[in-house]
Amino acid sequence: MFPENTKVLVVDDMNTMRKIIRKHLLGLGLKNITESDDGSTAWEEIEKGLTLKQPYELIISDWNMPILKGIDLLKKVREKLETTQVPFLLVTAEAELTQISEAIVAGVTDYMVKPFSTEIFVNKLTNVWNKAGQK
Amino acid sequence: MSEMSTFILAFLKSVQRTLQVTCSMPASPGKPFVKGTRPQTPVALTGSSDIMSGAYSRQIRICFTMPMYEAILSNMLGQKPDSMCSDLEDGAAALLNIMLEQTHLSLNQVPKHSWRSRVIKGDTVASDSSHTLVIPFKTQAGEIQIEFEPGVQGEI
Repeated sequence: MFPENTKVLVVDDMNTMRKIIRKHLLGLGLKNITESDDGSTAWEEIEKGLTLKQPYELIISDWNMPILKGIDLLKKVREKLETTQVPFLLVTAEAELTQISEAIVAGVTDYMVKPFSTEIFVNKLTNVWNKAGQK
Repeated sequence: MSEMSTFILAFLKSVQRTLQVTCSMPASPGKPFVKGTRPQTPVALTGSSDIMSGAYSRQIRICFTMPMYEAILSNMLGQKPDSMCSDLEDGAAALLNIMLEQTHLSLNQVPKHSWRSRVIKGDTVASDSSHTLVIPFKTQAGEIQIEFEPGVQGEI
């Protein structure tokens, strides 16, 4: 599983949803967590991390955000050489399942459907870790 | 069963599932009533959405008393928040978003356009009709009320 100093970026326009994900991450021992409220501010944060030579090692992003959606953030991350392998967990609503194929093509590591329980979150993160380890 | 009734029943199921999965809070629907026909519950927060779908194209609201919302938030976050700060109020809208998305999926529908729920503070929801249908949900922590605005002819 991800070591506790893993640098994690949580992206969601809903503060409460970010807090829920933070709670789950803390429960897994991950403490190095940064929050962004949109894909555009998240991208700035990712570039800042690269500049400081402290890149993010895990990105958890909501799909449906007002300015830059999670799918578009994923595409930007995958297009950049330095971040193309960063594990990316996309959080989505079931109504958007038809769009999941777009995310798979774009290179998402895994996706998680809302609402999700602690057990589902742990399973998804374990899966993301296992997939990342294979690369 | 009308398309409208199908939508409402699907929505009620998604309310139960969302509260159970996200908040570990079993909830059971009570007897529906028309808004104004029973003493008003002191609503502190409302998640509200104007939705457009084939079956239902009007407003849905989820209304919380403050003790109820704090109980939900405590279950969602795993701890009672130190204080009820404004940046945690968007949970009311987040829950409604999830419920509506679940409903559309269960009906195999895609909303006609993207919608985002919003939060209304206090008991200030202006209902332009005396025919708003309210369905209360009972939980261990209290009651949540779901409000369905009627259509142009007053039908639900």
